[in-house]
Amino acid sequence: MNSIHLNKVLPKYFTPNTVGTTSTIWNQKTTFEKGNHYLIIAPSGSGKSTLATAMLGNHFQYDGTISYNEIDLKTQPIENIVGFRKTEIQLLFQDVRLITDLTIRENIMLRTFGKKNADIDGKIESYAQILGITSLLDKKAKNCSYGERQRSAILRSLINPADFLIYDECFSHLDLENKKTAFNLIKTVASEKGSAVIFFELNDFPFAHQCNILNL
Amino acid sequence: MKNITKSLFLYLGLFLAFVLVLGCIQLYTNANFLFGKKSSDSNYWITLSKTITPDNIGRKELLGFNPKDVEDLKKWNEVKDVYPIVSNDFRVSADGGNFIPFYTDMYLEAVDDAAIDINNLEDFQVKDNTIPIIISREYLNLYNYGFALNQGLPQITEEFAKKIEVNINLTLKDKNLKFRGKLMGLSDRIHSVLVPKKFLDSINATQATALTNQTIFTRVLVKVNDANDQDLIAKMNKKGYESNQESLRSAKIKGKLFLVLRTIALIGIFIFLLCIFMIINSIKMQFLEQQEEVSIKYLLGYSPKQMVRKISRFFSIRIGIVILFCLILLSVCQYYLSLSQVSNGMLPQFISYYLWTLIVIIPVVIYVVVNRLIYHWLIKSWKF
Repeated sequence: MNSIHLNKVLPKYFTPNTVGTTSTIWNQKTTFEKGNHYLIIAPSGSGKSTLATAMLGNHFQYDGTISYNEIDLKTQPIENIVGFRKTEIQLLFQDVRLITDLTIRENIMLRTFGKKNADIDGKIESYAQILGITSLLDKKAKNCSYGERQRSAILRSLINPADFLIYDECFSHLDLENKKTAFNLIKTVASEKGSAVIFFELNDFPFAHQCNILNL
Repeated sequence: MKNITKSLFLYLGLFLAFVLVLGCIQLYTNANFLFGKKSSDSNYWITLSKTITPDNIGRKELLGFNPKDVEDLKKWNEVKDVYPIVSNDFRVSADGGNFIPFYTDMYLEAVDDAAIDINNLEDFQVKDNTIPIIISREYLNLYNYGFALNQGLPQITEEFAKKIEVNINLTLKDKNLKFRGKLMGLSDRIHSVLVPKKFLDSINATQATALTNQTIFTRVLVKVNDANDQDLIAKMNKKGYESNQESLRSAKIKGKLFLVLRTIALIGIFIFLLCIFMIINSIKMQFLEQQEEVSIKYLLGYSPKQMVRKISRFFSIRIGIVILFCLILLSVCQYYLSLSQVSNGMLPQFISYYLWTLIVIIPVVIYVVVNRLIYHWLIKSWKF
């Protein structure tokens, strides 16, 4: 997938508090291109998660259209939409969504869809080392802190990256140092794969970055 | 632990349901072995008459079968052929002449040759003033074992009986006729004194009294596929026809037995449907218990269709195993049943082979049904 097009998208059942302002994605035309990095900055209540999940095809409670390349999501059967999540688009939710009864490693392996090899194992080890969670890999997710889970979920999102990586406030429980490390890892992996990255954040990152900044 | 107990009860329920349903199918097969199978190739003969009631007593037009009754009978599915029995409309007597000193009033009946169980009927026609007669083997037995012994008379073999000639006297409206009667054979099928039909018809036609009753037959001989057919019995009862054939009595027992079997099978099907309902619900419960896991997998890109397929396949295989155990139990029961006295050596040692095919058929059907229902339920539950 090379691009995601948002055309006059507006939530059906609530009005984001930024609607009507000059710089917003709501009710406008916006295109996200593969290979680019975006940072969407928006205050609370502006519908960040609503837009992120709509872009994943998890709901259709909006007017307007969201298209992958030229394919309107609303016209697609559920099995096709799920199919896109394997290689075209993935989302890291604000609440990380790890299966609490599985270990961190098992949770990460969910993204490989049953594939196991030394390359994957190597990646897990090296990313875990960068993120500082090596000792957690065989710990159950329910026994990890929120910040640890957030780093684990970031690792999961990078193990088999899709064309578009969406992160919904994924650094909310990390300190500045960890934020920077995680951001750099995401940037590196995405660049290797040529993926687009879209961050939804409350504020701009407190460090230098080259993301295209958009407002919601 | 809770899960194990729950599945244990579910599979126990399924096992009982399958034992009931499959057991009934096997018992039905067994009953057919014991009472005789329905078959369109076999022929059974039964003699039908109307039940005598105070209303029809002595009235041939009510007691007999009119042409409409005969036509109706021919339309019954169970009936292959209908042969009305013609009786004499004049007085008949017989005497032994000088050879055997006896005299008796008697009757004559006639039926189409096709209905008579004697191989060669070429000579069954009146020739040279001699009437060939066919009587029931029972009559000869009655004489030999009932009458002759205590009267000090000699017993008569079939061959000897065929040599005896008696005088048959017909008392007609305007004249008397004298014939010689000669036994031609013995019938196991028809309890009567039979003479050639052409002969009886021609004499009846000359009798004025016969005109009104000419087309009324007191009894009819019926060829059926299966004298054990409970549907036939039901129809006969409804029309007020009766027959004293022994086979009909076993049909009545068989009819009642099948009714009981059908009832048990219905209960089994009911339990089976309940179990399917339980299976669907328990799969739903599994999805609900793992809702978080399922929804995370769904968001990560796992196909819901495949997730449902996996769990349906798991249940179908389990059901196949339950049916296998059930059939093994039934096989053991059938084996011992076939050896027992009840079976009288008439039951097969193994259960019907088509029951084994259900190991595949039922799980496949359940797989398709459960798969479809659960998938729709899951997709519906995700819509928001």
